[in-house]
Amino acid sequence: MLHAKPVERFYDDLLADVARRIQLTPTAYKEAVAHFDAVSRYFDENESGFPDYSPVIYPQGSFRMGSTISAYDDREDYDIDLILELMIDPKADPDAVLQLVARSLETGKGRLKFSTCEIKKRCVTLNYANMHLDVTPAVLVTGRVPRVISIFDRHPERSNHALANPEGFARWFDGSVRPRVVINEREVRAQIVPVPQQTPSDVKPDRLLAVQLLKRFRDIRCDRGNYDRCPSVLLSCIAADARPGAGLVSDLRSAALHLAQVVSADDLRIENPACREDVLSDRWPKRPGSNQRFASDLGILVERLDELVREDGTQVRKRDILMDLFGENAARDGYRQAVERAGMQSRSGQFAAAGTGAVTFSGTVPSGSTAAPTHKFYGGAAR
Amino acid sequence: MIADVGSNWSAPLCTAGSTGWRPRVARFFADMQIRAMTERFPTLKVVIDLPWMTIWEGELTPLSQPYRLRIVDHRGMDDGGMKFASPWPSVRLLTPIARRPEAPEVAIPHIYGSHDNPRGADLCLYHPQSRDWNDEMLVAKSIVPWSAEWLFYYEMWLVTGVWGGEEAEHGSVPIPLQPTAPQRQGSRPPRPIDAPVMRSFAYLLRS
Repeated sequence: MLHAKPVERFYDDLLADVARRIQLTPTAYKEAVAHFDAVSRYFDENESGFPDYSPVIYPQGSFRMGSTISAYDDREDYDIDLILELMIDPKADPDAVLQLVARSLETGKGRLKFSTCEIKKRCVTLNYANMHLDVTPAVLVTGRVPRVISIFDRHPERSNHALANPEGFARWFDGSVRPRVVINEREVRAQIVPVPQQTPSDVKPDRLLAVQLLKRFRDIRCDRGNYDRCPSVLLSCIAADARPGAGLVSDLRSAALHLAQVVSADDLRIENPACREDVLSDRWPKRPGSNQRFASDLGILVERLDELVREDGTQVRKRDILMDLFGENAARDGYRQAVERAGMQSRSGQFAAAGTGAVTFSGTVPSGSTAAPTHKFYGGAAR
Repeated sequence: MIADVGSNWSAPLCTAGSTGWRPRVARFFADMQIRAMTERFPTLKVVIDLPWMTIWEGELTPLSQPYRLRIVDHRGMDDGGMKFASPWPSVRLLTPIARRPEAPEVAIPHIYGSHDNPRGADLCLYHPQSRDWNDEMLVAKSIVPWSAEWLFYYEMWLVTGVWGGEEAEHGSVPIPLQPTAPQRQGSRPPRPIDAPVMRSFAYLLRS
C-alpha cells in the first residue's frame, strides 16, 4: 500500500497489530475446530440417529467469514455458529425439530464433552467451559441459488419458518473483501464441510481487519452506553460495501463513516445479498434509538482515528486513544508488537529516516530516506 | 591568514585555523559533511562552520513529536596548528524529555547523564569502542538516522517501557564521560533547556 507520508504506514501496522490481538488465540481456535469436528462426526454416525436425515453441517457467521473476535475483557467466551442441514419436511414444527436435535446431542454428551445443552429460539446451544456452539437446524431449499435454507423459529411473534442463506452471504462477503483470494468451491453433497483455516491477520485484507476492529469497538461502546449491539452479520454486510481506503486506518475510517450513515436511517432495512427474503436488520435495533447511538459512537471513532494519525500529540496520547477504542490489552500489545517489528528492521539495516526525521516502515528503504546502519545503543543506566 | 586563532576577534570564525594543508583537508571534509546533511536532512541547519568542527541545529520528527537537536561533528582541534583527532560526533537533545509516568524511578535508557540537564541530554547512539561508527562515515548517513531511531525508540519506551533497539552489553566497561555530563540521572520534572551554542562551546574562543 502506498502512503503519502512515511508515518502513515506505522499507524496502519499498529492498527493491524491491535486487530491481531483481538482475534481468537490459536489455542482457542484449535479448540473450537475440535468441537466442530466432534459434533460433525457425531451427526454423521448412527449413534446420533441422524444419518437417515442426510445431515450436512457447516460453519456460518463470523467463524465462517474469518472475523471472529475475542471478548474485550479477555473472558474466554466466544461462540461458534453451525448450520445443520437435514432432509426433513421444511414445514415441520420448529419445537419438534429443535427437540430432536437437542435429544440427539444429549445422547452424545459423553463424547461431545459439553457441559449443558439448551434449546433456544432458532438453535440448540452447547455450552463448553470457555465457548458455546450454536447448532441451527435447517432444510436446503431446492430451486434456489446455493445455499438458500429454511430455518425453524420457535419465537411466538415470528413466522415458524424463515429463509436464509448464511453460506451465500459469506461468499458474497469474501468476494467483497477478498477479491484476489480464490474461494474454494464447496462440495454441495459433502456431509462435513471443513471449517476454514483461520487466516493470520498479517495476510488478511484491510477490510476484514476493519470489520474485526468495528466489532470490538461496538462491543465496548454498547456495553459502556448500555444499548443493544448491532448484529455482526448486519455490521459486516454494511461495512463490506464501503469505499475502500488507502491503508488500514483509512479503510476503517471509511467503513465506520459508511456504517454510521446507513444505520442512522429511521427505516433501516438491509437484505442478505444472497437471499432477499433474509432481512439482516429485522432484529435490530431492539430498543428504539440504539441505531442512532451506535451511529453517534461511530462518529467518535472517526474523530479518534483522525487524531491518531494527526501530526501532533504524544504516543502516550495515541495509545490512550487505542485503549479507549479497542481495549487496554489490545492497545498495549499492539504497541509491544510495533516495537518488536521496528527492532527487527533495525537489526536488518532497514530502519530509515526521511528528510524530516520521520521513520519509515515499508520493509525496504524508500527513496528519499536514509537507512540507519546497524548499530547498538550504549550508555545510560544499565537496565 | 590567521595564525592566532581565537585571539583575533575581528576574523570571521569560518576562516579560523592555521595555514597549511591540514585546514584545507579539514575544510574538504567539512564541505562533504555539510553537503550530505543539506541533501538528506534539510531541517538541520549549520550554526557553526569551522574547519575542525561543524555544528548543526534543527528539528527531527520521527512520528508526531518534533525534537530539537544539536549535532557536533569534531574533526580535529585547533591549538594554533590544527591537529586531526577522532573524537566522536555528539548529539544533544534540546527538547525536554521525561521519564515514564508509570515508572518514574526508571532512568531513561541510552543518554549520558541526567535527562533533565538544563543544557540538554546527550544521546548515546553506539558503543564508542565498537566499530559501529568511524570517522569515515558521513554524519548524515549514520548519526542522524541513529538519532531519529533513538527518538522513535524513546517514544515507544514511554508507552511500553521496552527499548526496542539493539543494545550493547555494558559489562564492566565504564561508560565514557564524553561529551560532558554528570553520571547520575535526576528524578526532577523536565526543566526548560537553555543551551546557547557559544556558551556550550566556549573553548572555541581561546582567551
